[in-house]
Amino acid sequence: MGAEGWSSLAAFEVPSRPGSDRSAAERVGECLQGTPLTGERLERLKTGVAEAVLNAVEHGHQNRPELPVRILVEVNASSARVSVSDQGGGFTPPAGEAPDLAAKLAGKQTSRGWGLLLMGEMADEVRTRLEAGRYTVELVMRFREVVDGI
Amino acid sequence: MVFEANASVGGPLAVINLSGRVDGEAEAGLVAAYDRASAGSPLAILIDFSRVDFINSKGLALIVVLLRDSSRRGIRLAACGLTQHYIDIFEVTRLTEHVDVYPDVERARAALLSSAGSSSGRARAERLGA
Repeated sequence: MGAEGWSSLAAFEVPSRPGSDRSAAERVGECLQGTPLTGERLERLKTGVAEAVLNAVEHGHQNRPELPVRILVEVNASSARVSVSDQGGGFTPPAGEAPDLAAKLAGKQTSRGWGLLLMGEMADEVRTRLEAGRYTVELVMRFREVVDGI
Repeated sequence: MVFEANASVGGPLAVINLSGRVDGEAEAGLVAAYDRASAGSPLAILIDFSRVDFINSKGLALIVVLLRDSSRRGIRLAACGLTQHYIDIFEVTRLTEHVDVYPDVERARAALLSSAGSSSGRARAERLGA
C-alpha cells in the first residue's frame, strides 16, 4: 500500500494497435468490479482510460504493436486511479488548439483532437508525468461524486 | 462486436443503422453508408446508434466529418439510440448543438418527418412568392 493508501488491483499491458483502447477500458472495468465505482461514473472512467490508451498507441508508440502500453489499476479508501504509460515523450496539443466544433465544421481545425477534452471531462482528475523515459497519464475517479464541495 | 453500417434510403428520411464499435476502424463502412444515404439528397439522415457499444474520439471525428458534409449539402443530421453516457459525450463536444438527438427511430422519424413537412411547406410558399 502506497503513501496515500493506494493498493494495486491489477497491472497489465496491451499492444499498440487499433482496438487496444477499448479492450484496456473493458479490462479496467472488470478490475474495478466489487468496488464502489459503478454505473455512469465507471463508464466515464473507462472512456478516459480508452482515450489515454489511444493517445499512447498513436502518439507515444506510433501504432507499433511491439511496444506495449502499461496500465496500472489502483484503489484507496475513496477513489480509483488508473495509470497509462508509454515510451513516448508525451503529447502537448498546439497552443490555442482546444477542440472547437464550430472551427472543425468550418474546416479551421481537423475533425480529430477530442481525446484530451474527453479525458478531462470524464475523469475527476487527470495528471501527467514524464520520468525515466516513460510518459504516464493518471486518471483519478472518486467513488462518489462531489457536488458543490459536499 | 465488429462494426457494421447499412443505409435505408428512399423518401425524405434516410436511416443509417450502426452496430459494434465506432472508432477509426469504422471509417470506410460509415462513409460508404453515409454516401449511400446522402446520394438521394434526403431532407434528413438519422444515425441509429442503438446497437453501438463503443465510441471513441476517432469515432467522434468521423461524425464531425459527416456533419460537416451534411451541413454543406443542407441535409439535417440526427441521432437516436445513444445511451445516456454517449449523450453526455455529445453534449461535452457540443455535437448536440448541431445533431438532433432522439430516444429511438420511431420518435426520430415522427419528429423529423413532421419538421420536414413544415420545411417543405415553407419552401413551397417561398417558391410561390408567399
